Amino acid sequence: MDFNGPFCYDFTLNPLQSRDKLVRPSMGCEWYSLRSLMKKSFSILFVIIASLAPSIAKAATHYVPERFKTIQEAVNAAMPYDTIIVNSGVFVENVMIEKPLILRSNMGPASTQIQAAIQNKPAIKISNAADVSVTGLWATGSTVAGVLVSNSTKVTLSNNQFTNNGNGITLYGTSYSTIRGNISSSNAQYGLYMEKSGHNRIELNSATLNKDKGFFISYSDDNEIVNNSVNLNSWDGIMVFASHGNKITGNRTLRNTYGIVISESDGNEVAENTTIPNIFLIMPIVLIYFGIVSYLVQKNIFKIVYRE
Amino acid sequence: MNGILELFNAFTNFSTVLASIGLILATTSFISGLQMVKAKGPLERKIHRANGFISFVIFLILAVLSFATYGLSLWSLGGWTAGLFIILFKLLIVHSRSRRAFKYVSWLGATLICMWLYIVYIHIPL
Repeated sequence: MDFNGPFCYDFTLNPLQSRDKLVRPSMGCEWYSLRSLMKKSFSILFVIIASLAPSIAKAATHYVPERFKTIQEAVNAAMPYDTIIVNSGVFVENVMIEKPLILRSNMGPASTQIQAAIQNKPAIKISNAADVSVTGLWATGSTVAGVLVSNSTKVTLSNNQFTNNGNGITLYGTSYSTIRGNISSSNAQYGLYMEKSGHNRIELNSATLNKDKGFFISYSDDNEIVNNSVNLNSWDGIMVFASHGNKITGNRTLRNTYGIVISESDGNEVAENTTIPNIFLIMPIVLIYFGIVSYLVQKNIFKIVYRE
Repeated sequence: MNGILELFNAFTNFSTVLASIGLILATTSFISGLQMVKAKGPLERKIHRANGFISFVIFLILAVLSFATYGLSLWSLGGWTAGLFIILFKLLIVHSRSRRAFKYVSWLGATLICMWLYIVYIHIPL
């Protein structure tokens, strides 16, 4: 059809009255019935749905160990943006993620453990990926890291547990990611180690009893480190080295050798962090006061008892 | 106000309560000990011994609880042994009745108070 003029539609449903492709050159328009219009609309709709179909099919859910024996098998089989749900159990493997995925446990970290099969590799590695989410897992037994996120963006690690690794969490060259509500404890070096990473948000995590530092932020700019509990680490609570423009607020760093150490860094906002809470001062004073009162009370009681 | 709330919250932990009682009794024992040196009253001696003995038992319980919870590490073993050594050394001096040694026993008492302050510090829940 080489008609280039405006279309004119006759909105009738009666096939007898339809004027399908009735050309009226004098009016400068081509007439279409509602039926042909609907046909055209459906064909356009079909094309749209057909083009969207692959993206709709992406969001599949895979179950481990029901469908796949290991998490890595599920990761390999998954399409980008699929969800992998891990049920309870101990999985002895090293998981490598290089595509957008949601990996989460069904029952939480207490009953879903990833134990590094090869100890000198991270238990979970997220590499060169975007939009990866890892939730509710317990990663342990790696001399490198519980989770290593390298050269990735928009990664979310939430409510996981990383214990007895080299580092609990390692971020390298990672940006615009969220690390929230994780427990990183009893690791050989750092609870969280961040290098050459920027614009990340580290919040509500707990890093305790690590053999070196709680958090070690190195060569990383414009991160937000807020409302974390970084206690009982052998060396520094939070160490910021050669990093600029970070926001470090509302953290509790108690009973570390040093609370917060900032070295060779400029433009960091450090506010409302707690290194010596009031209770550390109030409690001994109150107890010694009670001790004095106790002496006076006991003395009077003993007087009464031994007089009789 | 926040500090007071935290203070009440701390006493929900058993080992914190135990350590706190230990410090209270150690303080009582220390004051009665000082009074005893000054006045040599029989009441002070009774108070000193009773409180000292109970705080010693509490010290042992806390040490056992610590080993049971966190395991035997070199640092914790060293710390508790050092505490035990201070207590035993003080008892040894008191029982030796040597005048020269007796002169410094109040310093050992003060050291014991410091030790109890540290025990309370490490038992405040975070």
